[in-house]
Amino acid sequence: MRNVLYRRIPRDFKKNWVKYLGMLFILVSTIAVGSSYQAATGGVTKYTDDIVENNLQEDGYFEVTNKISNNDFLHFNEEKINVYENFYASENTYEETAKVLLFNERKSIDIPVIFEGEFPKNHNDIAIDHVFARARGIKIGNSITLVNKTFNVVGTVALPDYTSLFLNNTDLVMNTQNFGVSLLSEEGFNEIEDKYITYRYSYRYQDRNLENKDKKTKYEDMVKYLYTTGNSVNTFLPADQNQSIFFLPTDIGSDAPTMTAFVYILVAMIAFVFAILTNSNIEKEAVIIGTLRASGYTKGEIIWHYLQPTLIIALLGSILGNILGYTAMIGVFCNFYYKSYSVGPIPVTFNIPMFLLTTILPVAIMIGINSLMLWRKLRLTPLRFLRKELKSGKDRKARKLPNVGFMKRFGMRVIGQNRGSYITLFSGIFLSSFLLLFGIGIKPMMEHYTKTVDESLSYNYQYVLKAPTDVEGGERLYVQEFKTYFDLGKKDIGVSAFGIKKDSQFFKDAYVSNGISISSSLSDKMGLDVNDKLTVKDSMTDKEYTFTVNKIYDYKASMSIFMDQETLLKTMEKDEGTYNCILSNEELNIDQSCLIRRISRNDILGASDQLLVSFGTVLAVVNIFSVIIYLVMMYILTKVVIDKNALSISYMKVFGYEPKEIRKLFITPSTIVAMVSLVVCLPLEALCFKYLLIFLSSMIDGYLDFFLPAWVYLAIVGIGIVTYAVINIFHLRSINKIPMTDALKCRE
Amino acid sequence: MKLKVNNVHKFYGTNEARIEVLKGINCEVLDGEICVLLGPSGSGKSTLLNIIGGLESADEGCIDIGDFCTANMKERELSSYRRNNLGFVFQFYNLIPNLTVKENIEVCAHLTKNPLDIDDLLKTLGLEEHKDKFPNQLSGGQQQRCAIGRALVKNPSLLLFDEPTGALDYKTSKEILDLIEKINHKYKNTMIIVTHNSVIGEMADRVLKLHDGMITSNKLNESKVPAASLEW
Ligand SMILES: Nc1ncnc2c1ncn2[C@@H]1O[C@H](COP(=O)(O)OP(=O)(O)OP(=O)(O)O)[C@@H](O)[C@H]1O
Ligand SMILES: [Mg+2]
Repeated sequence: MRNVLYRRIPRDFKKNWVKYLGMLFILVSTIAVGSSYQAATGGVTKYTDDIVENNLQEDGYFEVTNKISNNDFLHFNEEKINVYENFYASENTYEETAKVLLFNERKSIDIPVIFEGEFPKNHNDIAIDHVFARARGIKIGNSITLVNKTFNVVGTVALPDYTSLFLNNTDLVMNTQNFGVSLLSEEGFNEIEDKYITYRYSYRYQDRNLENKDKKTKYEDMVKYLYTTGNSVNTFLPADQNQSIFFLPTDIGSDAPTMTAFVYILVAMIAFVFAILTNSNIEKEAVIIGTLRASGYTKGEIIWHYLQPTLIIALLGSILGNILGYTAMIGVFCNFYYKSYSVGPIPVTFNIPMFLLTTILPVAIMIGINSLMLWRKLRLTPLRFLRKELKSGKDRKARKLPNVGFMKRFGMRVIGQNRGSYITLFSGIFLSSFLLLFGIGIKPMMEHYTKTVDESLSYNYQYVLKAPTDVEGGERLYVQEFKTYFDLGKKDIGVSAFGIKKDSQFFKDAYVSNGISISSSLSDKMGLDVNDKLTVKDSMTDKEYTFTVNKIYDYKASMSIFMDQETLLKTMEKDEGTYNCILSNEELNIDQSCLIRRISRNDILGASDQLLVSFGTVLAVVNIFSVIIYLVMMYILTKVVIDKNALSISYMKVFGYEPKEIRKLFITPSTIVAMVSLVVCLPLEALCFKYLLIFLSSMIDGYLDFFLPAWVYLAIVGIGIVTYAVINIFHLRSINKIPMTDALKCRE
Repeated sequence: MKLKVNNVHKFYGTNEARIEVLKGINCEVLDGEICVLLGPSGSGKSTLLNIIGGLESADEGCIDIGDFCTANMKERELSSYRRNNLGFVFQFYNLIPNLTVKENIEVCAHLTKNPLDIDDLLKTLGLEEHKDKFPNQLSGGQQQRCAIGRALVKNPSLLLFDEPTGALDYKTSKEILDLIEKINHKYKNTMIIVTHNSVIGEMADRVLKLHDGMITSNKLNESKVPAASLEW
């Protein structure tokens, strides 16, 4: 015979639907966020993996002044390398600000993927990279003038050799505004004037299982061959050095651990709230449990009974969350990728380990925490349940309270009896307002960071050179990139050593004749002080160097050390007087071929702006989320107090207490706890934020100063108060609904 | 089923505060007997009943019921002992508020393979027309009937009542006692009824008197009075 106890569950759901729905909502959205993130990230990973073979992504390209000969093709073929024409025309001044490459139709390499619309067929058709098209507001059906010709935009595409749009391979950040690629029909491409055309050849190794070192020798052989055969090579870029190709696959999923942690913290919190709910339910039903146990129900049967609501919500949340994640929510994250990366339609992948991670694990966490709590509670004897002695021995005695008015004393008792709920309320408020603080605060903090970097940065352009060049102007120095072990982040971080002269214009007062001076941001991040030792490593040679810090130089723009130029050169065994870097306030006219890297002020500031742009959606999600969590947490945890005291409230009503007085007894304590928690939590949250920041900074190469303007704190408290006020309306209604007959009928 | 209490001692508290609540109880209740346990408040009636019911363990001595002996039983065994042999009825009815009368009874029917026929039982209890009501829609007497039904549905060999009429008025109390008697006739369960109302002893087969943790009298009742004719 089926146990009838299960009939209580739908009735319980019906009676407490606000509570359960709220929990379900948080759970569903948490899991939806987690699963859609996993699905989208998995999809992009699959896409970048797939295009390597399915779309014949190149292993590299070279550009030559004149077309290569048939013999050259034959030679490469003998070397088991397939080389294909991949010609393009370049428009350098699209709407005066952007560079656009127009590629010929591709048949054998870097096969494009259609995003929207169709491939160009006619001579005046063009398909534009979708990221660039979105950034510049180009729509299908628009006309567009490039390389002196007007084209009809018939589609948007993604090119396998441009999954990230880097204008120069030496650039620090992608540039989706000012650089785009596009595709023409063969007919259309043939109509373009020769002066716009660049002869690019893209190649693929026939052997698809080459080791990296084989690839390297093959590619060096190719370069050698091209030079010796008199081809004038302008660029040679293997795929593994081409940011436009390798950036996305290496970048993707780097934030997965943070995301996963976020999901699990939330799930654990939900599990915790469920434990509180179940716990208060058990206290309320102590006598019933005692009776059932006395009648012969086993501990297991009772645990199972009280576990079922949690199990149902957990399963439902996990199923709905995944459905929502794989259908509606996935779009949010895909869009997030589409905005920044030129990928084709992201395939929805179904990855079993990932799926388990977003279904089984949350359910397991919730069931685990709850059954543990239930099991502990149910260890008490049936008799103690019958006598409602669920607290440990000491608590049983009524506590002496100061001799204040009755109402006050009663209020204190309410607080005392509901300590558990209030502690959870405190932690709930702490967690959700911390999320909120993070969501709201990260933007001003990043802006502050950008501002300090801007103020601190002493130059406008930095050119890192392959070799000294005869350009006029600028300050010449020697820069060496080092790695140093960052204990807190358990990883190496990059440190630039600037070899400067005593009279350095850009780093005034940074010069020390002995040892090194370090930038204040490095000092802050690593916790280094004067006289401390800093060990750095040259990752090329694996050689280590140890320097003594002689000075902290107030500089926030980079993780840098400064030392005498000649000392640095000697240390690195370089020629006296040589340099590899020019700093300047004006743009210098240095040939691309001499440059390793060109970094402008805008690049540096843009990096943090770009971060904010790409985080925008996520931050919005976090903010909405935390407000909802706020609402649900506050509601549930304060409702627990009312539910637990329903009988007392009913008695109070019978005794003739006014609603106002009842509110004072059962709501005011919650209000006080909520408001005090709100305020008390702020400094704690700020502290946690500070530590989180150190942790976050450990993942990036910079150092984020902790900075929160006062309005952020005010906003948090404001949102908290408004949320609580809304909840109170619900509570007043539910107090009014408690019938007086409860007191007379339901004896406990 | 025959019940035998062997030299049961029970202590509460520790050190100086340690008091002996039961000071060596010995008695026997025969199969199908109604036994009324009388005594003033604090004399240890509930404690003894709880020990018999396996809700509490004796510090010394044991209970023999049929083939079982409660001494040295583990919690799990006690639970199955209760499940298979016992029905409890308390002063306060302890019904599950969001289950109907019928469902409240079904909760315990679930515990046995051969429960009594529930509709039949509802008829006996006089709850037929109330079977789909929730506890808060019932009078105290009706709630107690339901609680008795819940204890009875398993058809246990031993039914324990702790002040079953303690919360009821004169008339309702008599109805409940009448019902208990009827059930005893019909199903032949052994019954122990704890009360401080000595009149109830008149309907019993056996009357035990407890005073200060000791049995002061153990008498078979020669002149049994039907519950309906009790007066106090
Ligand atoms: N858990 C306990 N801890 C300490 N003392 C207890 C405990 N339970 C009962 N007692 C004490 O044991 C004694 C007997 O209690 P018991 O409940 O058996 O009395 P009773 O005869 O049922 O009384 P009443 O008629 O009032 O229900 C009382 O003095 C009581 O104070
Ligand atoms: Mg008692």
